[in-house]
Amino acid sequence: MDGNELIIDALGRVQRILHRSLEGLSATDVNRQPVPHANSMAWLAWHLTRIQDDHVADIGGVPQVWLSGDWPARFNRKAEPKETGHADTLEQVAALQVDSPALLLAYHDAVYAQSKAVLAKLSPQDLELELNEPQYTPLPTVGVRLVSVVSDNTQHAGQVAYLRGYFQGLGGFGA
Amino acid sequence: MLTAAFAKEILERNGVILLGAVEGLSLDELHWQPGPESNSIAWLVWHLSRTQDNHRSAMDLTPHVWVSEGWHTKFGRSADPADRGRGHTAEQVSAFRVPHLDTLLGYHAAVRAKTDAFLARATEEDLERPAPDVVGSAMVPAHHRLQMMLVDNIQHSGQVAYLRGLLKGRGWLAA
Repeated sequence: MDGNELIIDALGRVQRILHRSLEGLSATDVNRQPVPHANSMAWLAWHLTRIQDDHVADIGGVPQVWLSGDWPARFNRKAEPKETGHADTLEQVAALQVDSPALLLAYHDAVYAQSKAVLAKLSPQDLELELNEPQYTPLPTVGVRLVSVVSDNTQHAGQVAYLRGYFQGLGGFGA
Repeated sequence: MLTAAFAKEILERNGVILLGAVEGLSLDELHWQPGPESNSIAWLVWHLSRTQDNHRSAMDLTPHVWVSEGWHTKFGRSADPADRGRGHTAEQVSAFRVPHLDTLLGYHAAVRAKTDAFLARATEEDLERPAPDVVGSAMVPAHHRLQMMLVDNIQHSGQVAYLRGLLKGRGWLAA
């Protein structure tokens, strides 16, 4: 197993957690914030997908899925590559509302499909390449950047799963 | 970057988030549940540490430190390797108590030390070797157990971070 296969597998698990956690929920639950300063499932799923889209597109030298279609309009956010939710204000978090979890899953599925294609092409040598980001010492490698995508995405997917349990109780995941 | 090196890097990053999220919490905060069927931070950290201990044990074929280092007595629980929180009822989760934050962190550190040592020496061949599956009697490649460990631990760490945010408000991570 190569490092890139580990990343593809880990992101595949994120996709499955999101499907399991979001499918069948009402828009009300998906958009609900347990307290006004806490992120909703919708914001978390959107944000983690934006991070994956932004970072993997960068590594693959391909356009972001976000910018190829009407995704920004459907999420009522800017059609800009750095529109990832990073440093969103409380108002922006609260404003991210979806009509159905299906939109979150459709965007996520499209991004994961692109991620798999980009990652499958990476050789072990590619993973050692340094990124041109002189603000960091030492320079991050492609592998290190992918590690941070997996960490970020899996943490947020865990939060989405937790919120499903919180709103629906222990039976929320069914059999 | 090879599989074990990736996994080590992922756990290191995750450890920073996890330790930051539990730092300085009182026993009341550690045991707080946002809802009657929601896991507390104490339960989550114990469970993710037990899970990591269990997966590593299956890969390096050494006993759980839970048993071998006597951690179970410090938690007032049985030496049963199957005592990991898996399948706990809401009542068991609510009843779960840790004596002190340091006990929880001590056990987690002991587990991590063994995992790090294994990952530092594990070759690709070691990770292809058959290991018992987490349930049932089938055998799986060891890296399968490693993947399960990572996805479980990072998700639960994300949940701990989310709970800290619920307890302490926004901005705790940056502070």
